Amino acid sequence: MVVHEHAINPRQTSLWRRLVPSHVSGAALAIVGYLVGTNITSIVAGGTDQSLTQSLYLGFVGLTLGWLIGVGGIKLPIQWVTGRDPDEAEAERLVYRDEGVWRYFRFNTDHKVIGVQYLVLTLFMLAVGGLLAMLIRANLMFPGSRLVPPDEYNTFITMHGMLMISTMFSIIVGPFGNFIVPIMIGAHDMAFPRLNAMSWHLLAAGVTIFLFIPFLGSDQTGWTTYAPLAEQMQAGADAFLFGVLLIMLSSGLGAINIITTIITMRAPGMRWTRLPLFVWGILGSTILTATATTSVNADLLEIMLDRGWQTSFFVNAFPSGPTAAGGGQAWLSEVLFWFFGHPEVYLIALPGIGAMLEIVPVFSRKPVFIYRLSVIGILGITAISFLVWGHHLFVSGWEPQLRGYYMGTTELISIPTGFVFLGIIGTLWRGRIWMTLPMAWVFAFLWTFVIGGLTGIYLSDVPADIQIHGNYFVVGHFHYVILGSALWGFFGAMYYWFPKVTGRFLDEKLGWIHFWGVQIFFNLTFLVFFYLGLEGLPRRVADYAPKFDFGMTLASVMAFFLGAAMLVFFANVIYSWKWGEVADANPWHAKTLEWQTPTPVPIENFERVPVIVSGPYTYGEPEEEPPAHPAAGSAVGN
Amino acid sequence: MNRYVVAIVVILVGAGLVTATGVALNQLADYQPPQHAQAKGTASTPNGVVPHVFLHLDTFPDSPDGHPQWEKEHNYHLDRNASIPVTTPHLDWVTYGPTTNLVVPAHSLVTITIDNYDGGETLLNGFYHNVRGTINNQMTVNGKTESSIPSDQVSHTFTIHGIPSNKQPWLFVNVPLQKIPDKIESAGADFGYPPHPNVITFSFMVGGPGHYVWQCEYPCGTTYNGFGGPMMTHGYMNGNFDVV
Amino acid sequence: MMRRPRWSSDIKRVVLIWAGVSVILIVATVIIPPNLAGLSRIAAPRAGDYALTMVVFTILSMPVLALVMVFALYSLYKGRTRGRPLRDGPPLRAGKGVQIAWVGISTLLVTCLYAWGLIFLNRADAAPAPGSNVLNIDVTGEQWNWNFTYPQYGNAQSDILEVPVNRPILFKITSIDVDHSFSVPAWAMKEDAVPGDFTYIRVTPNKMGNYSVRCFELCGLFHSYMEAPVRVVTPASFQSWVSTQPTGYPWGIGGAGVPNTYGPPSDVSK
Repeated sequence: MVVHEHAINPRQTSLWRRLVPSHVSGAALAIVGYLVGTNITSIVAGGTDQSLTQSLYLGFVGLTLGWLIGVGGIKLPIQWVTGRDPDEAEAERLVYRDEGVWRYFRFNTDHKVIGVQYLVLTLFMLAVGGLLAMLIRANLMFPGSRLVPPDEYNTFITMHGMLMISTMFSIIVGPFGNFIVPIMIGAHDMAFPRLNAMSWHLLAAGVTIFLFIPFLGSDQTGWTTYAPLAEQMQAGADAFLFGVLLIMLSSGLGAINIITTIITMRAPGMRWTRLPLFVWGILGSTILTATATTSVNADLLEIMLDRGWQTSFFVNAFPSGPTAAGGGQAWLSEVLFWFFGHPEVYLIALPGIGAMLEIVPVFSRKPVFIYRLSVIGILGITAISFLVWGHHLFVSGWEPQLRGYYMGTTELISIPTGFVFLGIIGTLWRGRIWMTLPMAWVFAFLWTFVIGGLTGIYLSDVPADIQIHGNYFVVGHFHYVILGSALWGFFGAMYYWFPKVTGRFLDEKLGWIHFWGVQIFFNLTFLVFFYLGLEGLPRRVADYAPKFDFGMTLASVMAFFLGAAMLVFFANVIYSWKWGEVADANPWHAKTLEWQTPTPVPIENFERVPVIVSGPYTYGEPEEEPPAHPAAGSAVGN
Repeated sequence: MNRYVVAIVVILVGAGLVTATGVALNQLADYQPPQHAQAKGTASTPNGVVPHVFLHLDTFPDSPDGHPQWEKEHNYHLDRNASIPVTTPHLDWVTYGPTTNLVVPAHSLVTITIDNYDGGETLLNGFYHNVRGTINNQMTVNGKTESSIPSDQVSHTFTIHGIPSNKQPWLFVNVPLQKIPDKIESAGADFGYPPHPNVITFSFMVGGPGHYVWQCEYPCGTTYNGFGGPMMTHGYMNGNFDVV
Repeated sequence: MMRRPRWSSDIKRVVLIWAGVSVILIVATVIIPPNLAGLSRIAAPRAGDYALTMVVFTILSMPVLALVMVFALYSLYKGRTRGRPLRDGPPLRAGKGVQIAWVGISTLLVTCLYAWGLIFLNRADAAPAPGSNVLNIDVTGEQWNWNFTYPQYGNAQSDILEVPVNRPILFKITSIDVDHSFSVPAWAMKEDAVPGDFTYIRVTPNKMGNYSVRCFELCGLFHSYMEAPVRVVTPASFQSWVSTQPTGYPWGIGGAGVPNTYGPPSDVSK
């Protein structure tokens, strides 16, 4: 646990003050809000599927409002809108300085607390997504869809897909974007601390609503929720749509916060050319989040309107309406979704890429090989990712004339991605390589992301994509790129920054077991997928022809071992948080700002605003001047 | 605290959670016990003399479990697992009974009789108003031989298909079920059901062992095009057809 | 203590290792497996083009994979320290040469791949010569079956896709409910079936045999079972088969008073 400065005196804070406002009161009011919301409509209109949908949406709105009111978060926007901004004392109270562990269970505006809250929530989401993955592979171990019937299996893959995607785009930006980035740029907090807390609480509400899905019936659409199918679904789809909408809103708000912080709150001397590459990665990712999530929000809202109120955005007619076509088009759902969906996967990849670029110079003791090209790589990926989404629609029949254009832009985006590889390999070359766990994950990233990227090139070629679209080749490809960048990036970031967040190292022995276990079993599981895809096995199938037996059984068995290796990571986090080896302020002798602060990091990060005099990667340079002026008020170990 | 102890405990807890969830979902999945076709004698076919097996199904406009007096009167029982479903079974959904999981022996002549208690409107796809895959592509409706039904007289279909491969032959059977006339259906003279069902009988050959599925291809479900609800949840208007 | 050679000779060594690893990888992925994951099941020219593309892309990709891993692992092997390094490494930054080379080569590669893709895309989409005896087949996808109608043969309908060999086919595809994807992997052919509109794709099967149609877009409960057999037979055999199929209308239009509520618009031309 983070070593806290003041032990809490139980007699000072009454139980009531502890519980209200906190997550406990939030949960209680959330339950009340849900019950109120669902019952309002069913009193008024009863019986058919449609009114169930409407009452569910109202119930979810009630749940979210109840949660936010219960944690004390609603009061602040209302105060802001009515011109009664909270004063200094109120802002100080919201940091709950003196409360030890309990401050993590409140609506807390301190970015470090929010970072830890994100870490716990995203690890929980990762665990649930992993559980679903194990169930998926258990069902696919033998032909016949024996574990659960196909409609439940389809629900598993829908939940696994969306939950993992949501996890991946918050798993680095949430914990480390919140905790580390403000310290890295010399700021004392985020630009909008209360909005920051609101983002986390919206994510918590969204994930809770998302987890209603199996209890409300099946949701068989896959994470892409293509519209005609989504509108046939049972009530599970309503939980999906609303929960995901909240998750996307949460990310969008968080993204705006981070972008503003990075642009406006850099310490004096922290020029754009001295910005650590991790911050560039986060910046690229949040730019994509802030803009792209609007498209999927529109898509989700329109599906909700079609389901609950029989509009015809995506289907042509409803039995209860006029039989003349309402003008809906199935392609609209695909297009709206993928306009978000493609920037989505890059916003997942960029923080991981940033973390890798951050770790490599520290453990090769060399400056980044080509800082400028690495930044151009990150920004190039950010910009071009908006131009490539049509490659998900190559076989959809939508605008066949544009396929050549999208093929070009998709192949183009591999060029900035290559700059990132140049940055990492060039930094490794002739470096003095300190093989720690964070560095190990960089090598894992190189292997996994390059395979993922190369298989992406196959998919970008339209004639080849016509054959391999929608089959296991695609599944192999995206698992390689997403895990390679986001998940290995997260593990690298965890092993790297855990000593700063908690004051202890993540255990080395468990860490190496985790590393090798994951690398071996991940590759054994997912390389088979490329083979299965080339053999013609469609994706998202609950059952398959006997000729795919061997590959599927092998993948399932290896996946169980992969799950075990991932569990070693969770064990490591649990063990090390309490009993890990204590770390000093700068165990890796790195030069970025966060390592120049003491551990635990004080409430406002720096006693005085630091002044930056050089870039963060001055390894091997003749002058040994520390990157920050000693007025930063902390011990510098080099 | 030993780090390996923590690791092993976490792995065991995790594996236990996964196993428990899997087992629970499997048990709660409301698998219906299969109906094994009854063998009664043999039949002489162009492929030689083969066993002749029989299956019986019924189609209802909603679950007979919602009409307990009708069930008592007709001594009818829907085969459902005794385990507790997570969501309550939908009593208002169209249902095939007594069970949707069917098992027949390989290389036999299968005769299925379906008692249809439901009305209907119009097929979405006219392809399914023809009988296909049965002997002479014909069926018997209340004693009369038919090879198709007008598309607006169809109440449900019984359509078998699967994954063709070199290990299991292609099997495609489609039988449209004649609907009960609207007036008789809405009268519901027999505890909510029509007094006499339409009896549809058809026979087809099955080849080697294989796992197939059957489903209804008529929009009798919920949501905007009638393919939601019971049409896309296991156990109502679809099921397994295993040739062993 | 082992004497470490100078770094300039390391470059030569790394390049040699890289070349060797690339060759091994290419051989391992392209040449050795006799039946490289379905690439030998080529039953149409477009499938042959697809197989060629896959092989060429693999030959180009393996050196890239080898480049990344060989340089990274070699640097690790040469530069690894025990514990924290006591000195920093050399402050190397990329010179103009490396930058231009990297950007230039990657751009060149991408341009070549793009050109290749455009050429083969045109070949796959190319309409057959006018006057060819194109066979039109209307494909209807629905939950969870395919049916095929032959408009040139009196709207003969079937659940099996039986086609004559060596005759160009134009598929006109639609769905009556949700998105499906009509694909015959043996022909390297795939096109979505979209409700409310038509999509088209062409193929000329050139090998007789039995294949499968599979659905490649998740469409609900029995998506896994949405398959149909494909039989490529002699033209005579096809002629006699198609004349025995019952006739009807695709999408229920026009048959026995079926309204066109959910069907596609009636005036779409390619």
